[in-house]
Amino acid sequence: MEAFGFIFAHDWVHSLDPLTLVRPAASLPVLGKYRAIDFSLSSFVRAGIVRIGVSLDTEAVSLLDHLRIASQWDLDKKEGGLFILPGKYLGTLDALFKNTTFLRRANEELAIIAWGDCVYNIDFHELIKYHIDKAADVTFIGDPEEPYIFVINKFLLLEILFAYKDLRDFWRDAVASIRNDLRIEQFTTTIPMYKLSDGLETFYRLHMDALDLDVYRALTQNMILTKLRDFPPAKFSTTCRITDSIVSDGCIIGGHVIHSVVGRNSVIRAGAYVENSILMQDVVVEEGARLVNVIADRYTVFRANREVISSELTVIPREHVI
Amino acid sequence: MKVLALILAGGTGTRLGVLTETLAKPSVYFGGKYRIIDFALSNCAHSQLEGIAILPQYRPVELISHVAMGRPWDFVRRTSYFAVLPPHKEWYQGTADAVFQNIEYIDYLKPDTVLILSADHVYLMDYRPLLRYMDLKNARAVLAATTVSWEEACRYGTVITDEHERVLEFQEKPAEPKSNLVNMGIYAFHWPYLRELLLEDSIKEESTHDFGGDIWPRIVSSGEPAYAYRFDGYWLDVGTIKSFWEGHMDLVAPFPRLNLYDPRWKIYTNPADLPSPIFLGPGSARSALVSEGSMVKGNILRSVVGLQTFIDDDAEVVESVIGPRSYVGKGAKLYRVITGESVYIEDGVVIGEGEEIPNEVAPQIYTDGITVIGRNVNIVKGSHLGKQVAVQEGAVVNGVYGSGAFIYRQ
Repeated sequence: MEAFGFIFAHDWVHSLDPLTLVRPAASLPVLGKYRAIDFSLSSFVRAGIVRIGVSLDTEAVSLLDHLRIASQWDLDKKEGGLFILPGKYLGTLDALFKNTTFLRRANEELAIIAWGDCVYNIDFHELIKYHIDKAADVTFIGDPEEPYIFVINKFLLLEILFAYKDLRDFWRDAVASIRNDLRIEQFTTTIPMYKLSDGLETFYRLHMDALDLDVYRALTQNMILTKLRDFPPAKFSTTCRITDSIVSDGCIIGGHVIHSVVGRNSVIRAGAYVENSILMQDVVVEEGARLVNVIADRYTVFRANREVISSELTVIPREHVI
Repeated sequence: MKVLALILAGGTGTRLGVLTETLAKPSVYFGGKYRIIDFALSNCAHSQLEGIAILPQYRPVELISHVAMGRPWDFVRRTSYFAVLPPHKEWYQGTADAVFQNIEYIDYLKPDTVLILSADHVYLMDYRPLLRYMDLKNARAVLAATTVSWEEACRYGTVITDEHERVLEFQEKPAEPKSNLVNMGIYAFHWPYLRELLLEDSIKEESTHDFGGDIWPRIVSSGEPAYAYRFDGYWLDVGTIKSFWEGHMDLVAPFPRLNLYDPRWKIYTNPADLPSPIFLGPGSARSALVSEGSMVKGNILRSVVGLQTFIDDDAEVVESVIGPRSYVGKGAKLYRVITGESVYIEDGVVIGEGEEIPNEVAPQIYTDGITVIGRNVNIVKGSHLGKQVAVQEGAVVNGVYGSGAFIYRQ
């Protein structure tokens, strides 16, 4: 059975502030080169699901910029493709209800609805097959109270939307109130999944877990598509030392990087030291600076010999100079 | 149309030995994630040219699939033209014949100027100043020229100019060069003028139908005021194993002469969409480029590692260029090795140790102590290869081969 996709990316929670001050959780930079939403988008595209709506906040400039060139996900299509659905949505039910035109126009019978702040790499074919085999009305993955993904028949979805249009949350309010009348199935999987809006701890754990080869492979295999920036390969100078780390394209590394993730186009100069840290893209760590347990947002600069060392996580906001 | 760029991409690259056994020279990987043609294509994109045509010939399949209708270079626009023009009548006899056989296409686009480029060079160049220079000189023909060392000059076409940069003499691969200013294979022609030259050349029986060998000497001898445009940036003719290797050593130098990191002049390629490289355990990468999708556990020194390549525990890769999708096994040692893509080197293999003995089949190709391994080669556990060894594509190598050996596919 054919399916179309819908991704909730409008929810602007502040559980990862200051990282989520400037972007919704779905737009958080992860694993050096991706944004959280790339994982759900790529899983859709790889399963041949190429009609995808994304609800987003009208002020989510970072996410709009990220999704600007639909061809990066192979979604610049005459039939289907990427539908950006901006608005000021009160909740997931509102986000779906205000876009019934998109839902109605989809020719596909099944809707796969995903939360854009969840990081996973899944084969949606298996989920669809399970949903059909179980003859379910709704099949979900994740927490029964707060799933990561669910599958529902399009017409059932529209019925629920019109019947409960005054409620706020599609899952917690609308589905919950008719739970006993629906055949709801849970699809269990052992693949690693992270819901970033849970907070900084989850965000940090995702990155530290990914420094294990098996987890990294599980998260990134079979192509995760993202907005490309056409950087050259990462360059390592004579003075550098790299241990258990991910270093992205466009980086120039002269210092020591231990158990860390370094985002695209970052520079770590000779004599600098970075440990147990996450540097997003375009970060500069100058000579002799020392970072331990740091999450540095994009465009941050650590001046020469500055130290940010703590046993707790320190988050440096975007464009800050330390 | 104002300017149409024609990129000549037919080179067999015989002097790259086993690297070009089934691959055209422009398709050879360079700098980890790029292919050689990416440089000319990216220069066209940044020079904002609106018409680009690629003229492939030898082994065009991988090249055509790589250029993907010009999309990675943003050539797919309503206002621009992009075409791949392999021979459709008969095999291109020379560079000039390749253009001659496509007169119909060029006439259809009606360009004022035709810019002839080569897909075999690694350089960053804005073609617009060259085109302005042509206007300024009010010339119908301009060639780009650069200076090389006197020893190297004999490999190229040398150019002798007067004080106004007017071309006085043109010598193709002279044994005793009178100048170290050489032709870069980049020409701008007024199209009606070039058209006339091509028609005239096409009926000459003794002609090799080559720009450097026939067209330019004809221009100079006819007294036409043609000029040289001097280019002083980095320019590498990836013609030989030595220059290919040196080009990569240039990239890993502390301040490379070729700057791939200039945000205003990015090199675009057909993207592979791979995750960032991961480094595990006590291994290290020093003076190295490591491409996306790679995993590094061993040690890399003064080397370039291609896409999706795995360097396993305790492996040692020194002054080498490892092609994409390759594997270097546990404890393997590689010194001055160039590999094509998908090469599988098993545990404990040693390559590039021993004396420098000339290669038994092609001593002029495999020089400077460099061992070259073709695509899809498997080197079995415990094998030992010396210096200046060449391994043919798809070979399975098992055993000890001294320096200078040529290993054939079974």
